[in-house]
Amino acid sequence: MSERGRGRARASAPPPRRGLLSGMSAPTMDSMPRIRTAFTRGLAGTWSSPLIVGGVLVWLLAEWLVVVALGYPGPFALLAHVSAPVPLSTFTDLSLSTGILGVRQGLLFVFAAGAVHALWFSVLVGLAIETIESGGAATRWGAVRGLRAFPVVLALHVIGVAVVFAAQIVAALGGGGLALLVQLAALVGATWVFAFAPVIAVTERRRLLDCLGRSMRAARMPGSGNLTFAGLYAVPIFATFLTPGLPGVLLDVNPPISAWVYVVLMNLLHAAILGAFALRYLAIAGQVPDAPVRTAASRDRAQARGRR
Amino acid sequence: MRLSHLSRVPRRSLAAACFTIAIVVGAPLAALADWVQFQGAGAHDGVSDGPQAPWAVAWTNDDITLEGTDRTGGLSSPVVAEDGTIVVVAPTAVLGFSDADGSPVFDADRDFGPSSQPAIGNTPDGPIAVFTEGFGDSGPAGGSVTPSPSPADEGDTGFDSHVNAVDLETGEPAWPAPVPLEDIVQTPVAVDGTSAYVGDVGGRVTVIDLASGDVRWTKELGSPISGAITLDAGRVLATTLGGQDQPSEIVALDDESGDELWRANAEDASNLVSAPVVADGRMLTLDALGGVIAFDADDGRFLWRTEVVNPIAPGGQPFHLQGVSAPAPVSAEGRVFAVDVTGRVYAFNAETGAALWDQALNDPSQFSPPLLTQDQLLVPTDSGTLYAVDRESGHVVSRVDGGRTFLRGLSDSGDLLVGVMGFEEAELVAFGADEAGTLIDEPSPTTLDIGELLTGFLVGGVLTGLVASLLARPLQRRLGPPPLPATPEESV
Repeated sequence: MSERGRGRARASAPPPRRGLLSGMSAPTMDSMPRIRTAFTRGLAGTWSSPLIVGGVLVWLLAEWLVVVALGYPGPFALLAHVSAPVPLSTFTDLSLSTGILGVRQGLLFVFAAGAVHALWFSVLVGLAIETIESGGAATRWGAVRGLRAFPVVLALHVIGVAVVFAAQIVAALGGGGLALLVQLAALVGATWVFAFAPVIAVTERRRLLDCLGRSMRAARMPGSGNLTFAGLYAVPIFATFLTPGLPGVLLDVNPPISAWVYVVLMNLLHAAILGAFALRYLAIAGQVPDAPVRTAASRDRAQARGRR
Repeated sequence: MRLSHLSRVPRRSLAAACFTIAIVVGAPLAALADWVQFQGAGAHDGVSDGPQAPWAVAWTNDDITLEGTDRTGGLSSPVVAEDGTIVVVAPTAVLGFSDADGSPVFDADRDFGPSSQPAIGNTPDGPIAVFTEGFGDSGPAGGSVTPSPSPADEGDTGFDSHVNAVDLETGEPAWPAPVPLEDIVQTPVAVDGTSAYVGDVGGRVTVIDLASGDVRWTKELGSPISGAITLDAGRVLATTLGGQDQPSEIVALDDESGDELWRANAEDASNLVSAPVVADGRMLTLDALGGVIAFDADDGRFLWRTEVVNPIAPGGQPFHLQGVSAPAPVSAEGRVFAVDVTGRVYAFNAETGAALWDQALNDPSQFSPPLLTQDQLLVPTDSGTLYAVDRESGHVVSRVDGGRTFLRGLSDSGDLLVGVMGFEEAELVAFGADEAGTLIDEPSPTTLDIGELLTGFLVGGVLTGLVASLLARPLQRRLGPPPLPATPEESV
């Protein structure tokens, strides 16, 4: 083979396969906003938008009145994670449904709760993206645009239930301190790989599987720091699930002032994180590798394996 | 008719006569001190004629030293003899106290074992305290304090566990030898006029003659027994916990022979975790998934099951079987009441099982069943507070702090209510009527109060949102729009 031919072969060769966490040791991506920058912009954008802050308040009050009317006795603190991405919000889906209908029937109702929360989350994502893109306040068109993400977010809520149950089963087999680690790893991992999917659905109008696959590829980009961000976000949130004495953790359908402060602040924090996720994805969207195309050679190899 | 029934009649008649005379004369009625076993009587109905709220602490006795290497079990729930002697079981002793001031009356050695509630039975020689003892070689602290020899030791590699009895007057052993058991006992002892009844974790019911200490009969039920044995109308009722292949049910045995009469179970029930409680012809029990279940007390026919849902119940299980703690419902005058481990109180229609009200005390009550007085439901809690809940409205009408955590085992000692507190640092406490006290009227926090809700929302929620928004606006103005490349959608 000539030198030119070898050069062409090298140029057309697929990139070496990377391990799941191989990107962690890579140099930092220049185009990816730093975690602090992204969070600051996400916070400033979402918190300064009257529509987002007002929407969070109205949604919380409305959802609380509905669940209380359905027989839910508290605790109110459960609503602190309504605006969180999956699987952090999956605990709210599960606890609300089993808290109203009991453990047996409630597990069937979890997807209904997930669908309602998916609707709210889609709207919130749309609003957060708009504030990031425009640098100004969100408008109702941002909310309407966010509805594009509904199928993806709904699918994520279903996946979230599977992730939580799988983690619990594995944790139960491991037992003790391992249980905590497994659950934490599942939360961080799922937050990491799926965080961009709603943003992709809103901004790129891709199909469900494409959104999920692209979210995973974006999350795994070397030097992006996405896993670190997911960990910095999900670990403290998980800690709030285990922390006793937080406001609003008692059975009480008339939450005290401190409980409202806590729940509203947590939801605004989640909104800020959504803004940060949106910013980080939009900054590197053009660099996310496309899904690998199966070449004829790989198809042949697969068929040969099948024949063997 | 058995002697036990004969002996009960005169006492009941006497009490009725006293009551009638007191009403007629108009004099205040001094309640009888007679709380000889778990929840007062063989039916375990938990109905007390003791003082109603408001109460004050009448006396406490914290000068109780627990012996042994493992004192974590603390004191058992107390029982009260007719003369007012309060009896509790400590890890390695049986202790007697005066109900006048809590001062010690007697103590007797006991093999190290779970602090299960004893019972007081009558014999021709006087009242005796019947208790279980022994953890055997598999005890939690790795060995018993005084592994006393017993017939169970001979060739038996199982638990060294027995039933024993002491004379209340002298503190001396009442039987020639302890009665050996094949497994440890974590449930209260039950008594009637002639016999003591224990159910062990191996699923055996053992019935012992009070006077002689001889075993009358035993019955193998095949599954751990999850509450005190209940005695009703010549029947011995035992709840079996069940397992993977064994149903959880209530087994009725003939009191004379031990023959099985019937078994009661509910199709959709989980593991039954309480003693059967008999009241008004119904047999009530609790299951782990929050079921309150009623059967016909005569034939075990299923009547109803109502499931309570409590989002903060650990593991989704409102009712727990937890060591020697013994949950149980109570019932009277057409209502059934239950308290779950989080301290949430429920009332149901006894006929239909329909929920009537609930009261979320938000104060866990893991170790003790409630009691019923004429107007109130009394709930001892883990914080050490004793609550009175109005039976009609479900509102809290009184609360009193006992001064130490883990108040449990409330027993009626006539004019006082006696309980134990703490575990390793044990204390005996008595509550009496507080003439100067006043009742309160607090609805459950699970009752919607739209004014309170909106106040919290406006002051807590809206204000927080406003502050957040005001703080973020200057920052957003300063940052401006971020420099973003065109998105793939825009570039298409």
